[in-house]
Amino acid sequence: MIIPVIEARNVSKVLGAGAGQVRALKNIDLSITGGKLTVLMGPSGSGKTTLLSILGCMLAPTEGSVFICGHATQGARPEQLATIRRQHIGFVFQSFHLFR
Amino acid sequence: MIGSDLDAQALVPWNLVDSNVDALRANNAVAVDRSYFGDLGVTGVGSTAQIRGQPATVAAVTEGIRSFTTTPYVFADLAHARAYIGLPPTKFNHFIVRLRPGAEISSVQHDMQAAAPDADVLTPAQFRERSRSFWLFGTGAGAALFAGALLGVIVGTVIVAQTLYSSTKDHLYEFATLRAIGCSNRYIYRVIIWQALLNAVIGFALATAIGYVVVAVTAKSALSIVITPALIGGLFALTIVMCVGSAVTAIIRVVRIDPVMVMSR
Repeated sequence: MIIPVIEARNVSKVLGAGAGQVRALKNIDLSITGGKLTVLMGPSGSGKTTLLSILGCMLAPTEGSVFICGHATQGARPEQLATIRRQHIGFVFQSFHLFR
Repeated sequence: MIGSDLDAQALVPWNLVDSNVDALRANNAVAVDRSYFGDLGVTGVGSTAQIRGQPATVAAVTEGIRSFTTTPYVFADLAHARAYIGLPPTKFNHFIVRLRPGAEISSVQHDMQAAAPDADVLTPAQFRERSRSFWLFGTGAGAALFAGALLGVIVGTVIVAQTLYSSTKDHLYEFATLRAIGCSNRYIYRVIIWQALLNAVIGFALATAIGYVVVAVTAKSALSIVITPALIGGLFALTIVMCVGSAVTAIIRVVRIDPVMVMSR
C-alpha cells in the first residue's frame, strides 16, 4: 500500500468570527502521492491559499485531519509542526521575505 | 599633612620628580604633588605658601601622589609636621610599623593590639579594606556611585532591548518565513541572541575606546581614572549579560509569530 505524501480528511476551515465569519473550506478530502505533479486551481477567494496553508502545516484546520508522510498534524505542538515542515515540506511563497 | 622621621626609614614621599627627600630637613620644607600646584598656589621647588599661618617652602615635588578627597597630601619632616598641625610629641594619628624580615605579621598585630587596646592595629590589607568600605558604604559617595552604575545598567538594558525589539519588528515577515520553512525556536533564539552579542561587542568596543581616552586625559590630573584589566573583563561580562537579557522581549515577540502570516502578502 502506498502511503500518501499528503492526505486531508474532511478538512474544514472557518476564518474570522461573529458576523464576519467565513467558511473558507468545507469537508475537503485529498490524497496526494509522491512522484506526481498536482495543480490546485480555482478563482480568487476559493480557498486555495487557506488549503495550502493547512497542508503546509502553517494553519490548523477547524475540523478534519491532515497527514504528512503518515504523520498526523492534529494536536501537534508548534515546534513539532516546524519539524514536519523542515523535514517534509518545501514551500515557494508568493513573496519570499529574504533578509536584506 | 604627613610627617616622616627621615632617619628611621619611615614613609617618605615617593615618585620624586624634583629635588630629594633630604631637602625636607630644611626649616619649613615640605613636599607636594605636581597635580596640586594649582590648588596650593605654588609653582614648584622654591615656592612659598602658608600652612595654618606658618610659612612653608616647597622643597621637593612628587608626581602621582594624589588624594581621593579634594585635599592634597603634604609631606614634611616629622617635627615640622607636628608644628604645622599643632600636635604635641606625645600624640599621633597614625603609626606605620615596619616589621623585620621573617616576623609573623598576625602575631605582631595581636601583641600590638593587646598593648594598645584603644587603637586600631591593621594590616595593609585590612587598612585598604576599611578605607574602601568607608568610602563605598560609610559616605554618600558609594551610594551615588552604585546608583549611577545601576542606572547605567538599567538604561543600557532598556536601550538595547528597544533596539532589538524594533529591529525584530521591522523583520517580522523574515522571521515568519524562517518559522514557515521549519526553523526551530532554538535557531531563531540564536539569531536574536547573536544580534544581541553583536550589539554588546560593538558597544563595548566603543565604550572601551572612550574609556581609554578618559584614562589618558585624567592620568595627570588630581583625580585619575583607573581601569584595570579585571574591571574591563567584569564590565564585558556584564555587558554580555545585559545585552542577552535585553533580547528577551524580542524573543517573546518572535515566538508569537504565526508562520501563516507569510501567506498574507
